[in-house]
Amino acid sequence: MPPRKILFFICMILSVFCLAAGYSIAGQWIGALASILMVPAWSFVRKHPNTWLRSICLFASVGLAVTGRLIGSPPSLMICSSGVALAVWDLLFLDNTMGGNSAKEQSRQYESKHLQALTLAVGSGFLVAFLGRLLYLQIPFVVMMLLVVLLLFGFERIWGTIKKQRIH
Amino acid sequence: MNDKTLTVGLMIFILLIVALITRNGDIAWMILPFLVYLGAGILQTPDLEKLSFSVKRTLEQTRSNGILSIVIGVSVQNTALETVHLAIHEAAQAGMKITDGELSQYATLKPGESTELNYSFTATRGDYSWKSLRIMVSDPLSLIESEMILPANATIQVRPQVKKFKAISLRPQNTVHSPGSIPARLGGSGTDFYGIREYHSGDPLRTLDWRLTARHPRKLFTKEFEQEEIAEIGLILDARQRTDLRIGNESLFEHSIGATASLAEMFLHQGHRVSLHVFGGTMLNAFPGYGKTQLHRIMSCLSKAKIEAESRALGSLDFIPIRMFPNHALIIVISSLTSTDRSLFQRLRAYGYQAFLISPDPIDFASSTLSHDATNQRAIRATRIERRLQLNEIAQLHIPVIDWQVRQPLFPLVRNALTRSRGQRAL
Repeated sequence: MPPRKILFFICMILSVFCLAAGYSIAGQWIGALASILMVPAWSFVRKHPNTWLRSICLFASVGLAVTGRLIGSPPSLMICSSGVALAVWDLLFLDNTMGGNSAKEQSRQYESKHLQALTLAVGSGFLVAFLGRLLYLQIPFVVMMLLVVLLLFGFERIWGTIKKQRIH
Repeated sequence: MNDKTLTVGLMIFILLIVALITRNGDIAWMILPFLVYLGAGILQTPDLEKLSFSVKRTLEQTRSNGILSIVIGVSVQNTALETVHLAIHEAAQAGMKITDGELSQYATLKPGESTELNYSFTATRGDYSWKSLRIMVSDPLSLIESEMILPANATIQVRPQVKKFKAISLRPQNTVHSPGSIPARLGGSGTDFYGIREYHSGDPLRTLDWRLTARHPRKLFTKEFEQEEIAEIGLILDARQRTDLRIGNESLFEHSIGATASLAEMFLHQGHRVSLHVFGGTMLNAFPGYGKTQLHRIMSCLSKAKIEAESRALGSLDFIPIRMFPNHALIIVISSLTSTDRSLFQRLRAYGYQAFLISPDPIDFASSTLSHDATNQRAIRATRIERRLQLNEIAQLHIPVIDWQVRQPLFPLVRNALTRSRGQRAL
């Protein structure tokens, strides 16, 4: 079995486990049940990859994590669950694009580079998130809004630069 | 922006809004893995200006008969100084059927490395050409993708399938004065005895008829042999939309193409001079010629021939430029005919051509798909009568006619018709 599929199953189980554990700790059994239902949902999406269902599954997973946090589930489990759901979603894309196309050396390199980049990105995301949680910052709402606007403009500028590069 | 970037961006935005509304710091921290993921993609996006590739497309052959698979290979080499992640996308053209391999390939290429995309396909008759190759260059997470179109030319011609016919001994009215295999009804050098005439100075002594000379002491006589020459043959293929009939994947026109190809191959193999005119929306010509080169020209024309909607002016066979064929040529028309096509044969006869008609039978071709109720049976019968009358009218012009039911082999019909005495009906 190619590494992307093994990693997909591991990440899916980890994501669902974090959600279910979080809801169980908070005593929300319906939430825990809904979390477990994400396993068949992801499995279904894996068999029908060319649909918008995979994005809906990601939104559902993150939605469950957000709801869980709002009703008092442990934040680290919820952050972990949403981040791993991102990895599951990305691996679905990878599996769909590669298909049965990983026999060649260069294709295996492509897959391994993708997995490395994904692990690094999600891992560093977790690291920054968990380190960040240790800090206690009190930012006024107005300053926060300004930061958000700045972030959005930043994105817009970055996107503009990329587009320029692509036109060249 | 692809689906992945859009989804991640939307997720970040929604989480940000929810975090702001609920003023919950943990939800804000949830954004970070998504942000880092997106940032990693953006940071690793390759600069298109620094990328360069060398693309080569290889085909095992430039001509195919449509039966065997054609293997095509595309090689992409990274000639830039940085590692690149790319996806090669090849599009299948109409008429192609992939039998082996994939049409896309994902690869990570270090500087100087190359990757190959190989696939094989079978194709219906026609010309297939590739001008470029589409590759998508992206970051390792495939978030920011850029399309590059690189030149990679290749062409292949899929020719009609030829059923090899055995040689038929023709007896055309006129021949071309070039050594061949057809007795030309003229005295000269040959193998068959033709007659005796008085000796002319310059005649080889070995041809002297000594017995007759002995009986006439003051005269010399020479034996003459029948000259053997080649025939001038013109093929006219009807490619008008109104004469084609398509049932499922099968087309009456394809049978006509096959018949034309087989006849051309047979005649050229016998050494005759053959020309071709494809009459339809697009006119195609192969002017008279001999040998393998001519066969290539004719096959090339036949592989390009297709049914197209003809203009009203070209709707009738009357507009065939018959003077492109040399005088007194044997003209073989391959057409399933319409009700107004008789005049072509009158013209051919008037210009002194020896004509011959092979008419694929559209009624027989279609009848297998029709239900066997009484109305259909009556309609088929009426159409058959109409067609028989039309073919009889043409046969009355002393033109041999073959009413060809395409599921039957053509060769015996052609052999019988061409070897029969001139003007006799083959119907």
